[in-house]
Amino acid sequence: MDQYLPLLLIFALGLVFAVGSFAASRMLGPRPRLNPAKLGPFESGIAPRREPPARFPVRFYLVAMIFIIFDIEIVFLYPLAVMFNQLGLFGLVEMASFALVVFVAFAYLVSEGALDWGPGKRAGSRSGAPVTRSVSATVRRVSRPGAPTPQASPWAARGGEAAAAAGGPAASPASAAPKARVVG
Amino acid sequence: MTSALAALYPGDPLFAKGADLWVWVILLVKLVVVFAILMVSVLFVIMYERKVVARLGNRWGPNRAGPNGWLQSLADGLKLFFKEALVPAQADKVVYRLAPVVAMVPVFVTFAIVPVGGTLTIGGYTTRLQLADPPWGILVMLMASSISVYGVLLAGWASGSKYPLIGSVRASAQMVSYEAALGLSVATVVLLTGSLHTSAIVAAQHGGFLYHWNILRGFGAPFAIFSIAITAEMTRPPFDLVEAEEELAGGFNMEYSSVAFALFYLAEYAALVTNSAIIATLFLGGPDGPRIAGHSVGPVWFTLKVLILLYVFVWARATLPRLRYDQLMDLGWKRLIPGALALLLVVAGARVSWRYGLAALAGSMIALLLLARAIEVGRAGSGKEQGGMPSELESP
Amino acid sequence: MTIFAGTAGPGCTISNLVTSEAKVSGLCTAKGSLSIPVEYRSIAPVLILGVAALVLLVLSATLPKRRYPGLWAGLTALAGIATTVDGIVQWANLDNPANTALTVGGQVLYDHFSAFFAILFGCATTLGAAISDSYLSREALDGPEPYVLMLACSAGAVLMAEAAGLITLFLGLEVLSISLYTMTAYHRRRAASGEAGLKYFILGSFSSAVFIYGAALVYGATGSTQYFEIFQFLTGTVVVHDGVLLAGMALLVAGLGFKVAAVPFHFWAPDVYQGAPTPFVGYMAAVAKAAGFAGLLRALMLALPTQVSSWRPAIWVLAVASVLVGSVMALVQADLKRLLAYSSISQAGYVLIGLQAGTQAGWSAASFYLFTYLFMVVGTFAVVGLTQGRGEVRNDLGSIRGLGQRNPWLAGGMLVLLLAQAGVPLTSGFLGKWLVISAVIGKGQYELALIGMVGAAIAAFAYLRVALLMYVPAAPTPARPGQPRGEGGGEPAVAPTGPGAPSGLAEVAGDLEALATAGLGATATAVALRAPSTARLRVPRATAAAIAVCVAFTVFAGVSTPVLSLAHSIGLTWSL
Repeated sequence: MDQYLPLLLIFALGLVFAVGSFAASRMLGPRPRLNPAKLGPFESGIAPRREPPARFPVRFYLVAMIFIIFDIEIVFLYPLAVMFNQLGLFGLVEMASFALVVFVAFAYLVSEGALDWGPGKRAGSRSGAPVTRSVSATVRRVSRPGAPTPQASPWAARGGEAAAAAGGPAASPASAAPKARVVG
Repeated sequence: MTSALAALYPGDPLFAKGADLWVWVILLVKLVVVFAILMVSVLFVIMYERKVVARLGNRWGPNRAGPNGWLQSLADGLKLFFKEALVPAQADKVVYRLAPVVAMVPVFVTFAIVPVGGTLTIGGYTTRLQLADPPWGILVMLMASSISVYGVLLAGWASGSKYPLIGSVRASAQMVSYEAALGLSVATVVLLTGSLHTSAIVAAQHGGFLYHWNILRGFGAPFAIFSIAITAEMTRPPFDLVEAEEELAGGFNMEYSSVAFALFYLAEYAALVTNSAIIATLFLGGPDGPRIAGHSVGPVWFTLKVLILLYVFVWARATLPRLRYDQLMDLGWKRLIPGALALLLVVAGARVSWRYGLAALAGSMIALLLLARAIEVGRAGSGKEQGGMPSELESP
Repeated sequence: MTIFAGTAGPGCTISNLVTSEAKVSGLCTAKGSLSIPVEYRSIAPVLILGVAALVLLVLSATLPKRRYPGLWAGLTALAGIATTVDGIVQWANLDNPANTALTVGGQVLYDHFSAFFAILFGCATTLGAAISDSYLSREALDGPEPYVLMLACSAGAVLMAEAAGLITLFLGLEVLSISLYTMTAYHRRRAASGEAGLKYFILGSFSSAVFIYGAALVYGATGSTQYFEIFQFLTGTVVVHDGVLLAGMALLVAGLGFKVAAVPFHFWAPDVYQGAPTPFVGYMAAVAKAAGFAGLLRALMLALPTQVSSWRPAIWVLAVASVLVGSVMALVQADLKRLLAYSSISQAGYVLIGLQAGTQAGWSAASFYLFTYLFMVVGTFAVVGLTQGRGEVRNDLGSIRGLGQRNPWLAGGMLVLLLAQAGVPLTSGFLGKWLVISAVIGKGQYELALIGMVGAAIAAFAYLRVALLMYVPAAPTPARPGQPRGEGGGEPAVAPTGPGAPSGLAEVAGDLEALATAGLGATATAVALRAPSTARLRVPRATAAAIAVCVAFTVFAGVSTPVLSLAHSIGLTWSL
C-alpha cells in the first residue's frame, strides 16, 4: 500500500495547485467587466445564430465503440504479457487465438468501411444503382429558359427524377452550368 | 526471470522499514522536488520549443525577457494570472472549470512513476530517484492518457461553443484511436521485461550503452509505434488537428482565458516532458549510460535523453505538415493498431523459441495481407449505401 | 454418491478435484510452467462453430461485397453438420466412462449430456441455416452477418450445455443472448423487428443480470461457482441459514426461466416471436430453449440436487403456470407467430415438468423433449416463413388458410408438425410428453401428470385450429371450382376439398370455417378467414429439404426408439 502513497500525494498536490491557481487568479486578476460580446461564444467575430450541434456523425460513436473492444483486448493482453515467461507456449497460443478473434472482427469492420473517413467514397453505389441520398435526390434543378437539358449536365449522371423534375424546353447547348437550389 | 525481477524490484525500498517520520519527510521533499522539476521544465520547454522552432525557421525567437529571452514563458505564465477570468454565458460552469484540472493532474501523476536514475541513501534511508514505484507502474501512464481524453472532451463540451465542441470530439476520437496502438506497444515492452514496474523495465535495459535498450528490440518497431502514438495522443504536430487554427480557430480550449487557459497550456507541455521521459524509460534505458569519472551519473544521462527527445518533437513540429483527418484515422486504425498487434505476437513467439517466432511472423503476415484486402474491399465501396440497405446489392 | 473421476489432460488427473484442492480447478503446474490442461475433444463443438463464424467473417471481409447465394448458409450448414458429427463422435468416445472429464481448467464437463446437446445444437444450426437462406434472399437481407451470429449463438449454446460452473454458463448465456438480440432485430426495414429486438435486448440484459446476481449469491452461500464444488459442499455440509442460497437459486431459476420463456418470465416471448424474422424465430425457439434448459438442468440437478426439496415447488409452479397459460393463451391468438410463441411457452412447461421430477428419468425426458421439439419448431416456423409472403406482410392465422390447396405437400408436413406439438401418438411429441409425465408419475405426482394432460388437450385445440385452417379452401366462393391447384390427391389431408362436388364443397368449407374459428372473437375470426393468395406456393429447395427432415425426424422419433434410447442413456454425471 505504501507504494501507492506517493501517487496519492502528487494527485492531491496537483489538485491543490489547480485550485490554488484559480484562487490566485481570482485575487490577482481584475474583476471581469462582462458584456454580451465577451460572454457569447467565439465565432470569428460573427454573431452566433445557431446553437452548437447536438448531433455528430455516427462515425465518432463507431470509433468509440471499436476502441472499447480494443481497449478490452489490451486489458486482457497485459496479464498474459506480464506472466508470459511462465506461460510459455500456452501463453502464446492464448494470446494468438484471442488476438485472432478480435482481428477477424476488425477486418470485417474495415471491409464494411466503418473506419473510412474520406469524403464522398460512400455517396454512390459502385453498380450505379439509384441511391436515396445523392445530389440528384436532394437538389432540384430549376431550369431557366434556354438552360441545357439536365441529361447533358454531368450532375445528372444518375438523376432520373431530377430530369423529370426539371423538364423545360429544349436547350441551347451554349448555356451556363445548371443552377441548383436545395429543396427542404 | 520475472519472479527474480519481482523479488529485486518490490517497489521503493523507502517503505521497507515502515513509515516513520523521516520517511514522511523524505517523501514530502521528493514530492516537492518532483513538482518543482516538472514546473520548471515546463517553463523551460515552452521556451526551448519557441527557440528551436525559431532557429529552424531562421529566426531569433523571443529574446527580450530575461537573459536571451529565456524568462519569456515565465512572464507569459504570470501575466495570465492577471487577466480577466471569463466564463462564457452558455458554458456549463462546473464542468468548464473542472476540465483543465482533469487535463493537468494525470500528467503530474504520470511523472511520478518515471525513474530518474539510481538510488539515494540519506541517513540510513535508501530511496529511488523516483517518486512512486507501484506494482502496476506503467499502467499509470496508460491511465493518465485515458483520463486526459476527458479533460479535452469536457472542455469542448462545457464551452457551449461550436469550434471547441468540434475540436474536442475530433480530439477524443483521435486520442482513443491512438491509445489502442499505444497500449499494444507498451504491452510489447512489458512482455519483453515481464514486469510492469518502471524501475524493472529500466533495470532490464541496464548494462551496455544502447546495446540492451528496448529501442533495438523488436526491430525498433515498438519504439516507432509508441513514438507516433504518443505524439498523436498529445495532439502534437503533425497530429494537431485539434487545434487546427485554420478551421477551428484554436480548438477545444478556445473559450478559455486567464489561468484556466494557463492550466491547459501547462498540461500540454508537462505532458510533452513527461512523455519524453516515458519514452526514455521504456525504450532508451532511462538513466542508463556510461559512468563519468567513476561516478554514476544516471540523472545526467536521463536529462540528456529527454532533451534529445524534446528536440525531436519540436523538430517534427517545425518540419512535418499536418495530416488530414482521414489520413490520421487511417494511420491509427489501419496501420498502427494491426501492426502493433502483429508485432506483439511476433515478439511473444520469439520469446518462446525462434521457430514460434517465425510462425507468428508468418501468421501475422497472412493476417496483415488479409487486412490489406479488407481495406481494399472497404475502399471499393460496399455497394451498399450508408444504412447498409442491401436492396441495392448487386446481382451476381 | 458416485465419485466422479477421469482425466483432465496430460499429466493431470482430476482425482485431485474431488479432494480439498478442488479450488485449484485443474490448474496444473509442471516443470515450473503454468498451464491449464485442455481436453480439446471436449470443446471441439464450440471450436468448430466459433472457427466457422470467424471463417465467415474473414470471407465476408475479403470477398467483394456482392451477393453469394447460398454460400453463407451452405458454410453454416456445413459447420452445423460438422458439429453434429463431432457430437456423435464424442458420444461414442464417451461410451468409455474413463473419458468423462472435467477439463479446461475445470470449466467444461465432458459427458454424455454435453455430447447430446452438441448434436442438438449442430442440428439446429444446420436446419436454421437451411431455412434462413431463402427467407433472407426474399427479404433482400442476404449477407454473412446473420449466419455469423447464428454460429456464435450456437457456440454459446454448446458452451452453456458443457459448462461445469456458473461462470462458464454465464459466458455461454451472454454469447447466445447477444447474438439472438441482434438476429431478432435483423430485419431492418420492418419496424416490428427492431421493436422486438429492443424489447428482447432490454429484458434479456435484465435477466442476465438477475442470473449473475443469483450466481453471486450461490457463490456466497457455498464458496464456489463450480457445480461439482457446490455439490460437494452441500453434500458435506448442512446449511442451517440457507436464505442466501435460496435467494441465489431463485434468481438463477428466474434468469434462466427468462431464456426458456417459462410463465412468469414469458412476457417477451410473444412480442419477440412476432417481430423477429421468422426462420430466426424457429432457430431461437429451439436453441435458446434448449440451451436455457441445459443450463437449468445442470445447475439444479448437478450442483443443487441436495436442495431439491427447495427448488421443486418453485419449478412445479413454473411448470403448471407455463403449461396452462401457454395453452390457454394460444387458443385466442389471431396471429400465427404469437400462437406459436404461446405454444412454445406451453412446451417449456412440459420440460419443466420433467425437470421438477428431479430424477434420472426426468433428466432424460427433458433432454429428449428438447431434442424433438427442435425439429418440430424449426419446421413449423419454416412453413410460416413461407406462407407469410414477402416483407412478412401476413402473419395472421388467415395467411395459412388454404395451404392444403396451395401446396398440399407443405400442408401435410405442417400437419404432422402441428400434431406432434399437440402430442398426437406416433409422433415424437407424444413420446416426449409421455416421458415427462411418466417421470412425474414415477415420483407419485399424479396431480402434475393430470395438469400436463389437461394442458395438452387445451393446446391441441389451438394446433387443430391451424391445421383445420390449412384445409379451409382459400377461395370458397362457388364461382371458383374447388379443384385443388396442386396434384395432392394422395394426401389424406386434401380429402375434404378433393372429391366433393362444388356445392357440397362449399358446405364442407363452411363447416370447416366454423370449426376452425370456434372460440375466436369476431375480429380474430375475420382475420383468420381473410383469404390469402391462392397462387401455388413454391418452396425453395433448401427449405423444403429442411422441412422434410423435420417432418421425417418427428415421425421417426415417434415410432422408433433409437433417439429415445439415446436420451435414456444420458446419465447424470454425478448424483447423490
